[in-house]
Amino acid sequence: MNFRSYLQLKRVFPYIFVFCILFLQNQAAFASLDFGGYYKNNLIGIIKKGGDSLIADENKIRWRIDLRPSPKILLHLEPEYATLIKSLVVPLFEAPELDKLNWDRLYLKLSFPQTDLTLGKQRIAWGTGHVWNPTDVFNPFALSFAVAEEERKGIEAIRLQIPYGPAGGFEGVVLSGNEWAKSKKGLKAKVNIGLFDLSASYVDLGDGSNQIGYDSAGEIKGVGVRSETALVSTPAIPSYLKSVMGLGYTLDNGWGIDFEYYFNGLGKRSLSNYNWAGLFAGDIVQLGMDYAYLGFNKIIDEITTIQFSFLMNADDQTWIFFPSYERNISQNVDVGLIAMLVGGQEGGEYNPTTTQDPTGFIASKRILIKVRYSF
Amino acid sequence: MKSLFKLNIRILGLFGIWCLGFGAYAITGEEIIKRVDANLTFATARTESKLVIHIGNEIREKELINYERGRDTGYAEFLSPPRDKGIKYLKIQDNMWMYLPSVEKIIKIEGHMLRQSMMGSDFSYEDALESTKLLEKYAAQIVTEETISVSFQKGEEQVTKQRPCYVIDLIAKVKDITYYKRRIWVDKEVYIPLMEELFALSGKKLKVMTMGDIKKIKNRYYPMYYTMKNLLRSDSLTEMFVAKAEFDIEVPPDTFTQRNLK
Repeated sequence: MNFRSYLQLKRVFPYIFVFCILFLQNQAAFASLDFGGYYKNNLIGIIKKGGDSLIADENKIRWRIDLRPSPKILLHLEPEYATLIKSLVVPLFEAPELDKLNWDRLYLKLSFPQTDLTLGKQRIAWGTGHVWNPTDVFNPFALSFAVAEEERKGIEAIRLQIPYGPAGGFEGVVLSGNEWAKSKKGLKAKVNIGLFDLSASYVDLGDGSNQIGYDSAGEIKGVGVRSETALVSTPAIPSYLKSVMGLGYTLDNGWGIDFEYYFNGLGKRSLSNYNWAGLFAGDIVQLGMDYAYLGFNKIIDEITTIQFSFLMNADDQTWIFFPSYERNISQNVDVGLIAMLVGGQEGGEYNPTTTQDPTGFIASKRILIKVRYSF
Repeated sequence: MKSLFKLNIRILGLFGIWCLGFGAYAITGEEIIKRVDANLTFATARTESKLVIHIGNEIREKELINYERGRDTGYAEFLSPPRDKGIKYLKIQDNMWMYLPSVEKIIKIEGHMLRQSMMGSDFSYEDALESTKLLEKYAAQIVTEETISVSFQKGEEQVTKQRPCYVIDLIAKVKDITYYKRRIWVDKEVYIPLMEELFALSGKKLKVMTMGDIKKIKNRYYPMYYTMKNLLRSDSLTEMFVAKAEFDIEVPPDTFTQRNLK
């Protein structure tokens, strides 16, 4: 066994922070302090498959604090506190821990002449897909009914970014909290050519698996074109591919159309081969192999947006339909009304039977009324 | 003899009319647009502005700082309101990116998205991104001269001025362009557009922009007040007040990079 296998990054982390605090003490007094955040209330009504219904009310306050002792040093903090009142037990897949203060993001960013170093709990968002991001392995986000992307939990990591030109650069990420050999580690290179952003990445997933990926975003004759592909190699199963292809266009009347196709090489095309146990255990996030997303949105006036999102498992023809209406009712207050309906072949991914999903939540009908005050 | 005299009078009359016409348009449409470009093109610029968006009886205000280098490179950062604070934009030639601080993610604004409203205003991303000189995409022709009434808000005061203008039609040299035709009223004295109407290929009028409160800053004239009305939306208007404008200043080279977005 070599030394690196004993090295637990989590143990190293406090020393890095102490070093940084000592470094900070040599700087002038805090030159700037930015403070903001939001309070939000989500009132959710759910009718489960089988007929039971429940109501839940989530209250959350989240702060965003930026301390800048000098232009080259940033300490960023995002604590949040959430409570949930519910009429029945609600499974919380994405929601934060309740009734306690959570430090969702807490990192120190140091900017050197040619490098940025970020240490701590942070958000690392890779990929260009709007709905699916196969290359986003550090803290991936899946389209969710009630959880906004910004609420996705941060991860503890060390991140080094080396810009190259105005829109390119290199990036290295190591997740902390594990032995070096078991830590997830990634490298990414990005470049802009013409109207396209292109990037290539390699990730050691820490469990003997690795992933190589690429993504692109640009336009061809006014049509937005994006793609993202990851090839995952694991010792246990044959290598598989995850790939996204997306198109976007805005019509003259202001309606935006967004389409995405997702190929999930780990999934199955036949219902009988679906790995439900893996899904509930969290080992996989999709059952099928082919998915499609179609979204329409329009800004009715400057403060009102409507959107219709249609997500489909193309293998079993089950679907989820999200219509939403959002309005900025005053300078700092936004309200939204969102529904979620599911349908298609019974026994499919989004419309499982009560035997496949005893909770009855996957095929439930939901409505969400949200109010958000920004400060 | 009498008929010869009459003929001479007619010839003189026609010559006079021709001279008058020649005198009125002694400058060509292209030359006028070149002078406009000279006023609105700079090595570097920094502006502090406020957007006031009117939607029916409702008003939304947003403050931003903008840096520009030439006509094709720009950086904008929203300072308020809280829901938009920290949103940043970077444009380099025909590329534009937006940074969302809430998700700490840089998003490329692709071609089709450029037509959408920028931060809820009547300006589209495309309006903000427009960087090429007008004459590179359009052929210019003087249509007429007109004195127009220019109104703008200066502090609490509503100011109205009568300004003589050249009216120029700009017709796109290509069809694949959002605004196929632009009609511009250019101030004859300071060569700043005071009003601009933007048309689709179908001839439908899409937007009307006005500029006012022209100030001389260093050796150039610059409008400190803009309005944009998107005619496809009902009852909306966006005003932009430039609180401070500096030109040909030193801007750190990192300003126009994605690194500066994060």
